[in-house]
This record gives sequence, structure tokens and C-alpha cells, in this order.
Amino acid sequence: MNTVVDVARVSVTLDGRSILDDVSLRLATGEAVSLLGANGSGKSTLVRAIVGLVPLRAGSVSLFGAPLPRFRQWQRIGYVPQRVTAASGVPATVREVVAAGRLSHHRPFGRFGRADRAAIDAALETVGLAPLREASVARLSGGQQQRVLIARALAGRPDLLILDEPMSGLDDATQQATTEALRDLVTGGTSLLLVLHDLGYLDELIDRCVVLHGGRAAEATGRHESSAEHPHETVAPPHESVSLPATSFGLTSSPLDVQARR
Amino acid sequence: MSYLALPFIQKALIAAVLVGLAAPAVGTYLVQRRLALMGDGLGHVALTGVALGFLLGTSPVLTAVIVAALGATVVELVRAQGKASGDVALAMLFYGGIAGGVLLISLEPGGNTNLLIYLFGSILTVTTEDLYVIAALAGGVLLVAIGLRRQLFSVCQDEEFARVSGLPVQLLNIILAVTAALTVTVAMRVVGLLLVSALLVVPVAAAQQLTRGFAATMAMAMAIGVLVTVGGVVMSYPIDVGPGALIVVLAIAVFGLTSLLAVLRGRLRPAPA
Repeated sequence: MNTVVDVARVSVTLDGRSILDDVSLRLATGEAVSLLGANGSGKSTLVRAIVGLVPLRAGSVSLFGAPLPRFRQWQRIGYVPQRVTAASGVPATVREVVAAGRLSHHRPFGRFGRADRAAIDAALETVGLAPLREASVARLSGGQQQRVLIARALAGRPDLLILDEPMSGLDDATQQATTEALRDLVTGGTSLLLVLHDLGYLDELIDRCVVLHGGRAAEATGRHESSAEHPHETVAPPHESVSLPATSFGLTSSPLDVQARR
Repeated sequence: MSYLALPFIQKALIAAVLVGLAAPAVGTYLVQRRLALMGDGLGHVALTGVALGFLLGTSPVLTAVIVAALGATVVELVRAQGKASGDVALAMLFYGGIAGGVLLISLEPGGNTNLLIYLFGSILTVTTEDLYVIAALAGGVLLVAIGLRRQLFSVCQDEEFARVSGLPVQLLNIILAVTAALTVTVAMRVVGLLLVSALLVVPVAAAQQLTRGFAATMAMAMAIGVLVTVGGVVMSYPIDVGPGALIVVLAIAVFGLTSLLAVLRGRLRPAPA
């Protein structure tokens, strides 16, 4: 099975403060992995490092087998940042913001064609915003704006979808609908990397959880036994690989079992 | 209305249409990024360029274009490095530009009264050669503002997402900054450096009272831009006032009108969720 994301012993320092320390993580094609951890544990910084938004102090990141500095296939990645708003200084319609998700498929001065329009419409349908496509994003509720950002990432038809707290601000019904949409994507072969506060409805969808604690990671193969509520279990020993064997957590399944189930 | 057949009025009208289209097109991106005062800062830097042109005995427009474009690039690089926030970088532009301009002009023996043309605009003295320069610059500005609209929209709307889309964000930011600098130097002949930013920003502010989308805002801002620049030229001659200031006053009047319409529309039917 191909590796979609390979984070190898990554450390990140921001403003002189160590945020991530020797973190490793792998994501295989079609896998759904959740990053869990308390506030300030480095979850968002890790996904931002994976997409190249924060510089690495040490270690390396590869996407689809290419080292990050040489990675060019950005159309294969959909990114949903953690955001409070999708609005900016000038009004923009839902459709205009979602259309930005198609730019990774285009050269400058390129024209949008039928495939672009179809992808934009499909993404709007998926998040249930099709009736609001011509509405101004600034007028939408926080949860609707979050769905606009998800649709923007979906419009690029990515092979890997990275979502940073996608469920924050969403009501119950929308969380369920979003979960269904993500399940369809995983069934279709899309890999998922989600930063989550708690698993919630996504519980059944997630293959594996990686728990961050104080900038260090522990990889668990099951999803129920590893949680932020047991931080003492999740701290990796210093200067060792953080990809711990499943038995460390008292789990019975190994990473291979998880992948074999798929 | 027979004065409209006068050659200098016709040249002024052509310049008015070009500037009326170009300035709000670029201004839309500046407002989107909440850098509405960027045009002002660039206008101040262009003053240094104008003064340099007088001092060297070359075309002040040419030196203004070069100095403003350089200033815009430096500010964009400083902002991208995170060494100074956007507003501090703009403050440096304001003070450095004015001080540099005044300093250079005081170096010139006998002072220079032509400077007033650039400070307050003088669209009625536009020559045929000026028109060629304005047309070329406005054409370039519109090519960037419209041709790269999707890319520039993405960068101005969400810079980090644009980066993850694989867009050359830094390059696009510099292109936008340089385009804004070109616009300022084009528009300075029309409304003057002191009011140039108004032509970039006020039509956009007026348009967005009534629009929901980005493309619609840009199109309407350009329409308002042409309306007020042409209106200013046409009205200034019979009532014998400076067209530059009249254009800006007209733009603000349109803003007042669209704001009023927006309020009335809001009263008549509740805003959609």
C-alpha cells in the first residue's frame, strides 16, 4: 500500500518555542487517521507543517512519495484550515470561494471549463450548500462558513483531504451530514487526515488515532483505546521512534491488521 | 455641451475612462485584503519618484512608476517576512515617500511649481503623449486585474489556502503590489497623488453596499469609477472647478447613495441567511 503522507522525526519551533518534537506519522492510501490531543498539543502545527505552511527545524515530510520541497502535485491535496470565518474585505459568493479550490488544476490566465463547474457544483451538493451558492459568505452562519471551506477543498477532487477541526461550530445534523460525505470519500479511495478535538460521529470512520501530547506523538492502531484522556500512555520515550507497537497500548490489533481490514 | 468637442476635453475624457476602469479594478483586491490605504502609501512614494524625475530632467511619470513599483515590492517583501505588520509597513511608505519627495524638490534650484500638477491632478492638461502612456499602463493593469482574477482572489481571500493550492503566492503578491503602484502613477494625472487612493477605494466601497459577489463588486466598482471620472471631467468645465477634487466628491456622493439604497433595501426585505 502506498504512503500518502510520511512525516519522519519532524520538529518545529515557532517564535523560539518548541511546538513539535521528533514526531513521526505515516498515512497510507485510503486510510482515515485522526490527530487527537489537548489544546496547544501541536495538532494544527503538525498539519500545517505537512502542507508546508510552517518551516521544519528537523526531520522531513513527504507527500505521495515526493519530499515536500519538491512536491508539485498540489491538486492532489485538499486542505480545510481551522478558521472562524470564510469572509474577507469584499463580498464574495459561496460559489466564488468554493471555485478557488479548482485553481490547483489551472495555470495562470487559464479558463474554467465544464469539469470545473461540475466539481464546484458537486462539492456544494456534498456539503448541502447548493441552494446558497449565490449567497454572500459573510452573511452565512459560522457552521455554514465552515462547510464552504470544506466544499472548497472538495472542489479540487483531492486524493488526500486534510481537515483541521472540521466539526467545530457545526450543529449535530451538519456533523452527521459531513460525516456521511467524508465516508463516501473514503469509500471512493480518498485518504483523510483529520485534526479533531473528539471523535464524535467520526468515530466509526477513523482507522487510526495519533495522539499528540506536548508536541510529541504516539501512534495507536485502535481507535477507542487511545484518547487524550490517557496522556501518560501517549508520551513517546525520548529519542525513540514514536510509532509504538500496538502492544504498548494493550491493544490486540497491529497496524497491519488495520490495513488488512480495509 | 459644445465644449465636449474641444480636443483637450476629449483627451481628458479618454484618460478619465481608462483611469476610471483601472483604479477600482486593482482597488477591489486591496479592499479585499483590508489594505485600503495601500494606494495612499504608494501615492506618497510616487511623489519621491516625481521629484526625482524633475531633478534628473526626465519624465516624472517614468520615475514615479519605477520608484512606486520598487517601494511596493519592498513593502510586500517586508510584510511577507513578518518583520513588520501591514500597517507599520504602510506608515513607512507614507512618511518616507513624502519626506523623500520634499527633500529632493528642495535640492532643485528655484523650486518647482509643476509639482502641484502631480499633487492635485490636472487631467485637462493631458497631452497626446501622456495618453499613450496612460493607455499602456491602464491596459497592463487591467490585464493583470482581470486575467489573474481567480488567482489574485484566492491569494487575497485566504493566503494560506492559496499556498496549499500550489499558487506562487509571493509572486502574485508582488504582481499585485506593482500593479497597484502602476495604477497610482496612472491615476495621479487625473486626481493627484493626494487623492489617488480615493479612486482605488471609494468606488469599491460604494459597489459593495449593493453586491453579494466578488466579480459583481469589481464590475460595479469599475462602472462607478468610469461614471465619476467622466462625470467629473464633464461637470468641471462649465462650473469651473478642478476636476480631480470633483471626481472624488462625486465618488463619495455615489457611496452615500448606495449606502442609502442598501439601508432601504434592508428595511424592505430581511437579509437572506
